[in-house]
Amino acid sequence: MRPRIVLLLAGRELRAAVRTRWFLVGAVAFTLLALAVAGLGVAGTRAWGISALDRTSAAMLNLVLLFVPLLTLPLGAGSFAGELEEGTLPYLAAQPVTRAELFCGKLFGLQAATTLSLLLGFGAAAIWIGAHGAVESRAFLALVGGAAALGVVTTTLGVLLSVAARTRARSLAAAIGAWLALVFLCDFGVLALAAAQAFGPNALFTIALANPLQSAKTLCALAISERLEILGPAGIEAVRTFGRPLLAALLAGGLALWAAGGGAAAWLVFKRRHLA
Amino acid sequence: MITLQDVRVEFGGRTVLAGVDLDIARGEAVALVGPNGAGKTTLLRCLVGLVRCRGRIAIDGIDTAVDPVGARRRLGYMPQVPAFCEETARRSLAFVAKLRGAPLDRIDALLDLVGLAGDARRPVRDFSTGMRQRLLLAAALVGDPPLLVLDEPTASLDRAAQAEIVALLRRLRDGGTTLLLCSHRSEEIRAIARRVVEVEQGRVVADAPLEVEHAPAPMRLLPLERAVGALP
Repeated sequence: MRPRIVLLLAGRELRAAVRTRWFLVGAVAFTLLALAVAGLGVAGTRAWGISALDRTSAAMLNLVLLFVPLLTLPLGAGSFAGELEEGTLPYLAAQPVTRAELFCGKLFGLQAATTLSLLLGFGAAAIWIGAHGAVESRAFLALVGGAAALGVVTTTLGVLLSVAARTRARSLAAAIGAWLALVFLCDFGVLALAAAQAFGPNALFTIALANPLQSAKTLCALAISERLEILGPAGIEAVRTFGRPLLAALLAGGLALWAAGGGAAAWLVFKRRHLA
Repeated sequence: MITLQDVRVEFGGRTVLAGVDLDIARGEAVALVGPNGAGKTTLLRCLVGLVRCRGRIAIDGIDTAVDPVGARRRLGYMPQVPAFCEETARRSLAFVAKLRGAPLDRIDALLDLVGLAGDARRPVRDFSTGMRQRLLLAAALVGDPPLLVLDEPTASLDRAAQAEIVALLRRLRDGGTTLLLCSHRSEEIRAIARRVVEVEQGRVVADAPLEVEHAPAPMRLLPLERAVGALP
């Protein structure tokens, strides 16, 4: 694989993604929401003396968990299937590039685009908070890192849906279904298992981490606050079992596995399929 | 220049190419003809690596399964559906040139060749269909490949735009570029090709030279008279 060609293709993909309406609307909406959350956090500091960062980070975490998959899953899902329909993907594949270079270039370009949009939102929020009060950079950076990691995972899952679906409409429908499943259905499933008392806290925690959103949420929560209550009973049990550093490493490793596994599955589908 | 041996393709259990054998020499201008669904476009797509196939395909002696990049470096592809990688004509060609490792200083000459020098910085989305086809041809010529693979190069063009493309392709053919095109237009085939290969139900059913350019009326169509003559 030639890095120069992968970079060239990634650069084109980044430019193409940035030009899409979905990206523009998503990036602007995320920036405005991040600014609103930051503004509310700063207002809380003035009114009640509560740390702006604590409030902002907690609210921002919820924003990330809802918004990042909503922005990235359709962006990834529309990429391969959309360009296959338009003819751009076959056109690129007919050039002297390998399938692996084309796949990696597109994937990395999309991941760069989603990371860029998140950095825009977080950057605007950080500037706002910094201008109005002290910023504890470690926790905020951890939140940005967790959001970026989640963005990489969900973009990759979107790409997997895109290469598996034959049309853009199908892949986008699958992306919305995946968003609903990751954001709502998985939580309901874990709640149902907890209510049925079929599993202990550790087992429940492990099952919950099968959802990358839950992994990212727990990872960010660990970084944001020293208080364990925000992790819930299962999270508290996991911290007691593994300790904070090991748990954080396990969660980060889990997200990396999701990204690598999703990317590998997408590649296996892509390299076998006809581009016509 | 091109060797196809027992090329087979199936889509979902349906046989699209059922063992195609074909040899095309350097400098030849060959037209694939046949009814819709015969497998012409699929054959071209196998050649450029878009469709996975069984059998062997070699371009300039390079097996496409062994060295697909090396094989594709020797061909320029003009698809039927216009598709571009960048916003403007010039940037589109520059991107293709970078992918092909071709010099960027030939881009203006290529745009001039296809009559788009004055539109180099215009967004491609504002181009007419004819302009897009000409830009596709320019992109296929980036890096001066010795072989051009053309899928319906004048489809959906008006007569004036067709004539421009045909004239360009004739100049390239006369300059020694190998041409392989599929088309439904008999006048286009007669103007460009020197050999016609008829494909039907995924097989080559006829293959013969076409000597019509200097022929008196009625045209001296060789065994493919039926195939070409039946075209609109």
